[in-house]
Amino acid sequence: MKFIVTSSELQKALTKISGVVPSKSTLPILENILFDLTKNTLKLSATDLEVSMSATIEVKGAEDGKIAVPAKRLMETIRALPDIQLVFHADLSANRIKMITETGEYVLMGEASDEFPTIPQFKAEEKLSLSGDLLRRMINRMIFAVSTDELRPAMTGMLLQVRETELRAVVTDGHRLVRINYTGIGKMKLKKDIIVPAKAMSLVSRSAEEGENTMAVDTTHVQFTFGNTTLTSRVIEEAYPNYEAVIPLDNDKKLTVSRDLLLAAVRRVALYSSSTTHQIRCTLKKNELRVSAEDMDFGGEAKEKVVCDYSAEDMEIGFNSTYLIDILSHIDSDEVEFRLSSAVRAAIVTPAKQKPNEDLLMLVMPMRLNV
Amino acid sequence: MTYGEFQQIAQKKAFAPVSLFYGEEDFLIEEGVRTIVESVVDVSARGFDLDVVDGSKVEARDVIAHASSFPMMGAKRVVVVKEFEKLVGSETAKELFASYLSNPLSSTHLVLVSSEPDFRRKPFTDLKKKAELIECKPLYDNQVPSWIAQRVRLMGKEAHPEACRLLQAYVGNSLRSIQNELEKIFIFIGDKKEIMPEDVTSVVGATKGFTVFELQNVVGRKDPKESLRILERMIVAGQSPQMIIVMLTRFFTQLWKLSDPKLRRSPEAEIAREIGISPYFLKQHLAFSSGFSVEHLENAFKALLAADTLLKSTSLDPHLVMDLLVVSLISGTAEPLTNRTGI
Repeated sequence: MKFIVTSSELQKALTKISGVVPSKSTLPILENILFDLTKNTLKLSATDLEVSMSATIEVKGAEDGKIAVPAKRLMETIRALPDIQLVFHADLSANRIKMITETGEYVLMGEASDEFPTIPQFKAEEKLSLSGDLLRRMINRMIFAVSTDELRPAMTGMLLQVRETELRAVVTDGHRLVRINYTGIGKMKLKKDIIVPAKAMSLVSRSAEEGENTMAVDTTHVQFTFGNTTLTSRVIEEAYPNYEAVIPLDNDKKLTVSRDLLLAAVRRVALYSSSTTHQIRCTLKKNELRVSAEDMDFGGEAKEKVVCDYSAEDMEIGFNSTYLIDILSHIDSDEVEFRLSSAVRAAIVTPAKQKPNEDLLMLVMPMRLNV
Repeated sequence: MTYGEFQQIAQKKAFAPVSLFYGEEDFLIEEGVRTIVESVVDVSARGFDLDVVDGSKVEARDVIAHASSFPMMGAKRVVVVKEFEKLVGSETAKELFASYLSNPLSSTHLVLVSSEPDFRRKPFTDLKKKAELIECKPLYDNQVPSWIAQRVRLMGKEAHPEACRLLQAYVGNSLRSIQNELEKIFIFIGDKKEIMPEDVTSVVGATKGFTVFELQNVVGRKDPKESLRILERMIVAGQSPQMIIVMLTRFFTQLWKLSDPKLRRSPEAEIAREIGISPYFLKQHLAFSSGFSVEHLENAFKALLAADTLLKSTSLDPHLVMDLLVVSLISGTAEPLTNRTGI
């Protein structure tokens, strides 16, 4: 196997797929990247058995072949090289790889390509075109609220509900929930609910390209294609909890407040909250929101007033400041709207003005005060 | 509170905000925890309102944060902490729980499970005062048949008293094993309303077989009750008494070899090779060996010889001979058998 490639081209392709490579695995072969050369096309593949990624680049091919190359050492070497041409030569009988530059020579040992797991063959039922902007925006708004609890596997992924003219994404960790609806993205034949692992969605967000990207689904896998890069992930075959039942429809106390002012106030006051509970207290009076916290252990306390638009009855409600900061940080409108019911019921947070074709809703559970 | 008292509370669904299940009968503990979860949190809400954590893997503050959160979907949240004793090693963790216990959230049921609670130390001293403690200890022999009958009733059928006694004789007092066998019997009897002794014999007698290795292990541990139970099952299952004697002779020969101090000083692999067992079992055999004096071993060989002679040359009930043999092997006195043979 032999080809010539520029180090920057190779690095670009490797960077795209290297996120899949597990840093430590019980299967050492997974710590490799598969190089597959056919004429002038080099296909690079990596997998952790759940998520697989492939990228193709054009090279000057001299001799076809396949070999698994240790990802870490290869990445470190390529990263340390200037932007130069290098000759990649692999002796497939001995699994010996040689990379030759104008001034140097790097030899590393690879693994036979047949040791590398087969990337799942994908038979797409339907395809859906999505812009890279939409994918990145959707994932970055919500990935923070995915559960890490392995006992609830469904909640460790992102629920994607594809309907005729709507794409809906939902995540929750049992304390927070984020739901985004997108409309106006064309008419789709696909009608499907799938749960995609959080790792795959993070990689999609990193890899999505400007312009159109596609998402295809079969019974057990989902595949995203971004230009010359493909990501295939196993879907989580579990029932997603009935999240709609959690979203209250009768929260009648409306609070509108500047997102930046509130976020800054919560961040400052949270410094004085208990390091155990991170609890802050929000006291609501007519057009006034007071955010306060006290740390019983160290005797500190803090309070801030934030001007707001609120005309319902006075109330006090406690939140985990970390949850509230997460939520406010992931809304990008000038003003946010809270819809509240009581100090023990879920609070709904939305941008005061939604983006066109987007409906973003976040839900956060309050905490008991004085704990 | 006993598990029985807890069951009465469970009928009224009047669970305390904080409960601690402890004791050796993990089947009852699991059932108790499941009872609270199923009574309090609807199936559809469990994704949101049920947190199950392992005390060895989480921080105390995370547990308190879960417990202090209001339920997201239903009226109540349940937080289950397994291996609770591993969570509360630090002073901070103890203080956190003391603080939560002084004012637990009424919409949360915090269910703690501990196999080794130390009620002389915090937070167990606090739990003693402020939580519902449910002790799940193994049932006594005489309680097991009625437990079986009650269990069968709960599962929608009746069990003949003799069937309950027989099931206990076959399976022992392990409630988990009994439950497993009951599930098989239920499939076997189909629509029949009552479990009869012959159903137990057909299902359990056929499926739950013991090997001579299990017998030699309980003899090695000097557990007469379990030894006689396993022996009974083996004979009922049709295993040959002569073959059992051959295997027990081999076992005592191994123990005899292990009593040689010179051999015991050798490397483990060599000892295992010398006595003809896998090195994996060596530690267990060494432990058995230290419980048998040379005199005890000599008497064991006498008893094995006497039992073999009695089986081959007399019309004595083989069952009786084998019972006497097992008693002799454990007690170290060969007389019950040798008196009958003159050896």
